[in-house]
Amino acid sequence: MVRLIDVHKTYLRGDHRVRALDGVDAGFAAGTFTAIMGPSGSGKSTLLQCAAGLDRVDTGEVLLDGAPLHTLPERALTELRREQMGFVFQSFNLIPALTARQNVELPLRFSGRPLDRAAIDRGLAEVGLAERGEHRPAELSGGQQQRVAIARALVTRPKVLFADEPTGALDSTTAREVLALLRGVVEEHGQTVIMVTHDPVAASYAHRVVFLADGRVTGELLEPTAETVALRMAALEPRHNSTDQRDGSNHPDGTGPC
Amino acid sequence: MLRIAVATLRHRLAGFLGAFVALALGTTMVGMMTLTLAATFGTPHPGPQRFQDARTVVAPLGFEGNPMKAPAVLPPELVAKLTAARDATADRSFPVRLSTGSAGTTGHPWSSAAFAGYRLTAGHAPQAADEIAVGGGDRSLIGRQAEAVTADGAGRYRVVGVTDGRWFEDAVFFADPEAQRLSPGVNALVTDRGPEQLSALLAGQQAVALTGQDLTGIDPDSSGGAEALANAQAMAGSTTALALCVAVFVVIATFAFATEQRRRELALMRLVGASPRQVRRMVLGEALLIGLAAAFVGCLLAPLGAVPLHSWMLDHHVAPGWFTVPLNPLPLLASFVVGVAAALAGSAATLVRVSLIRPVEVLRESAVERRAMTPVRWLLGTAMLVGAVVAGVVIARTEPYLAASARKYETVPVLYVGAVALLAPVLLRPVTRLLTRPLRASAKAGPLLVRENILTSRRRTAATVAPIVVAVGLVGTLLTIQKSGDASALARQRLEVHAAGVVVPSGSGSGAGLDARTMERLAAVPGVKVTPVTTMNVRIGTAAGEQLDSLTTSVVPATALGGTVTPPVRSGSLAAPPEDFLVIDEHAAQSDGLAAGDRVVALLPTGTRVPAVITAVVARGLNGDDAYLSAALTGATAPTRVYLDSQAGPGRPLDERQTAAVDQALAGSGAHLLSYDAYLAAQRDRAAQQTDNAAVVVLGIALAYSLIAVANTLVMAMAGRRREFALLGLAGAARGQIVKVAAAESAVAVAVGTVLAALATGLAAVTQHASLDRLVAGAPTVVPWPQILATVALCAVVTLATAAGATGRETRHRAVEAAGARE
Repeated sequence: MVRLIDVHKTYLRGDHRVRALDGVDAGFAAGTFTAIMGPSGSGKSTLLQCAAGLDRVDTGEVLLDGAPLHTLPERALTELRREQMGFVFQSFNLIPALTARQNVELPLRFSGRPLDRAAIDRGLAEVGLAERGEHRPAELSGGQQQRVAIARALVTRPKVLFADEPTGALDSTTAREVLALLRGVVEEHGQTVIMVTHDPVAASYAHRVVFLADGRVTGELLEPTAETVALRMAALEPRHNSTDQRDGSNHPDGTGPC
Repeated sequence: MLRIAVATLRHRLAGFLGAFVALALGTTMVGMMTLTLAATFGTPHPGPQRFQDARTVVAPLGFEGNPMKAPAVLPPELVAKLTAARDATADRSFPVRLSTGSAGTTGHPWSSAAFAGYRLTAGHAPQAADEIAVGGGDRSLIGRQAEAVTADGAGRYRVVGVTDGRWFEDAVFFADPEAQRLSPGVNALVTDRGPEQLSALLAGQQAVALTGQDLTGIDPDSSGGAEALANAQAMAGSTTALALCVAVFVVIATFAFATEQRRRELALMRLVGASPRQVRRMVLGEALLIGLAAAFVGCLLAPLGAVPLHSWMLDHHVAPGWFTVPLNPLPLLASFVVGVAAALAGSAATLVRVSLIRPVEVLRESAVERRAMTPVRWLLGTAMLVGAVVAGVVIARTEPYLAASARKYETVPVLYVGAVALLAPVLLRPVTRLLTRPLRASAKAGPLLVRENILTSRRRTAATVAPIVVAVGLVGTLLTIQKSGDASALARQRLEVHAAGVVVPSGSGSGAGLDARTMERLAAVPGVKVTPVTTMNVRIGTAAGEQLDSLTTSVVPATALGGTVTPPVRSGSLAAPPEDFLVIDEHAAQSDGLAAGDRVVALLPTGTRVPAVITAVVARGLNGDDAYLSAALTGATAPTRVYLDSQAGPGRPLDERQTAAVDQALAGSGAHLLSYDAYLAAQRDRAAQQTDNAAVVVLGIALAYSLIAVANTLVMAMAGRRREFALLGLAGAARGQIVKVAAAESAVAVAVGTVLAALATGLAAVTQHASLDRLVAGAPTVVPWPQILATVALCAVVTLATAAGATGRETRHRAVEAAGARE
């Protein structure tokens, strides 16, 4: 479904260059749930953004369903994102002025599609918020807000759902509900989910984990469990406690080598 | 897309409140000014006024068959012929200083009162010589004693009647024989005969018969009130222009800033599938909705704002007492359109940047602003700067006298202020670095934050600085221009007149001059050269009776030219002028096609025609015409001022003995002696007072609006920083410290704004000097420091209070809550 071929990406931070992606090759098959893991600054968020066409690659190719993404103009990319991709982030990114239902409707409104009330009701029901459609984000808990964000990401029935630390701001119980929801998206609707996380427990919900360090893919793990993931991560980290860091893990910068 | 805009707008009004307030008040300001301006147009009182109920009026003949008003008089033999038939009524109009009324009262015989529609409201008509009726007087006046000063001297009268009032004059009516005694000449003759019956009588006479609409020609204000509104119109015009500039500027800046603050939200829209085009349309749609609502509110408020403005204009005699401001939908509609257009323009200015917002920005917390200057800012700012310089140079080359009046020169300072305000972000970094240099070494957190916050958020700082630049800059530039212009006019006067002292009649301004007896006594003072000057409106024309111009001239004796009075000569000569000399300025010479040596006919206000020769053309005056006419041509006049010189030479001070002798000569006349310096100082003070009066309205409204904009922008900016403040709180800053940091930032913004405003003022002053120097060598530049400092202080108070208040409000929640707040 999504393929990255020898992708390079460098940022200019002040006076020095930060090599975020340094020849990444990765494939994400249709109907799979993949977690991308790596220490802070390993380039995992950049990888996700490049894969989604949110960011431009320097060299290399990004293919969606075999079609190149990296050469499309911004307008076509917008349409492509609107039709075929969904996004969920650590901060839920809901529009505070709109109700849960209106937030979910937003992508349909932007794409000019008719508003199918039943479909939106279904979408809200799927994330367990059938009763909460008329609430505004401020009236919802963190987990509920994230579920609205997932319903919004799924409302256009995208082929790929990109999730960047979707559980980063949630407590463990709520996080598990959200992760189960993502897994369900794959298993029930055959959609593809690509998730960046630093949490081995979250990663264990995926079919496969791709490990990243210093902008390169360093390995992968199929049918992961929290324990096996944690072990692999410990090997990647120079310091043990850094998996606990909650700092800019969704920032593409970090402190990679120059 | 508009539906999303509407849906989101309803719940995000708080975020748009700033833009709404700026636009609503901006439209209010423009609306009240345009309403007032519109009210000054047109003819408020059409048709004949003074002789509205007369069939035919015979009036003295001027140039080109035009009638003349008082003090022009009809030839006595014609009056005798016309009144012989007993169906003619003589009207006399003469200036009266009435103790119970205004200084500028007009006296008439009672028999002509009816032709203006005057009716007694109480009492009876004046019959005895000591009886008067007061026009527009209160009935309580009846029975009171009043002193009336006329050219004949002071007389005591008893008020026996009062009539209704008329807009064009304050009248006092005397019994016919008494009026004739006070003012022997007949100024106009009302008759029931038609003009065709009079044609034989008038043939070859210096008189003309008027009927119907032509009767407006002898109205005190022939324009039907339009002339009386000229002052109000000029004031409303320049204030409207200024209000428009300031409102459009502030509204554009505020709307651009409001959009800027929503960058993250717009990126989110992009992320969930909005195309750049959709985001652009949404931004414009919101601006349109806010614009329509706010402009509508502004139009509702505008008529309310016009009420105090109207009473101010009446109180300060900017407009006549009969002036009203009707509720006119047209100017309100125009203000509405301007308001909505400004809102759209403000949004449109950000559209390029809005298009470039990338969805990924949603993931970045708050990026440091990359560029503070946008191409639009560069373009407009540079264009305004160039425009100001070009306007300055062109005016200096072609019509430098425009620079002497802030009203006529308004464009240049406004362009400089606009340019500096637009280019502020460029100047922000160096100026801030300079101002915060002392803070650099500080080990405390506050100074570091203040400095870096300003330097990294230049767009936000620029948004605060811009209205401060506008407020301080407008006060600085416009008052500097006005005061320098006034000072140059005085410098020119000092160059033009060399006198030791000046005698001015009492109650100057009423138009009454010094009486003949006082003049005789003055002339008899030994060792003093007396130069009487009478200001007189004289028409000049050709020998064939064709009118060339109407000039305000100073009537002086021939001996004064080249000695006491030395205007800068352009052609011709002031030396040994003939008895029939006339001196005109370049402006009149150019527009009338006259040159030194030409012969013209001068038509005096009395209706007398005298041939005159132009002996010299002098430099254009800074306050209207600069023209001199020989006193030998006018006969006896009542001088409006008298220059005194020691016979030792022009400009030499009078000695004590001479001063005492002059004082003695003036005793009892009400006139008094001033040294020339004191006379000029008094003129300067009067000009300063007028300037300050005008500034209250012209500047005050714009200033108040700018200050509101400052506060408004600060509230908007602080609301956008809630999370930042919360993070500071988590980092260990006490609430008081955060408030202090925000207050200090705004203090620096005021300082930066003041420096930039000073730059604009300096540029405007230098540009103006280029013009003024051509009029008066070494023209002075006067900087109104007290007003500028007061404005800066006002800005500082408003800014600091708002910044502290708004920050206090944004930090009232516990830091953890706010930091964790979702969006």
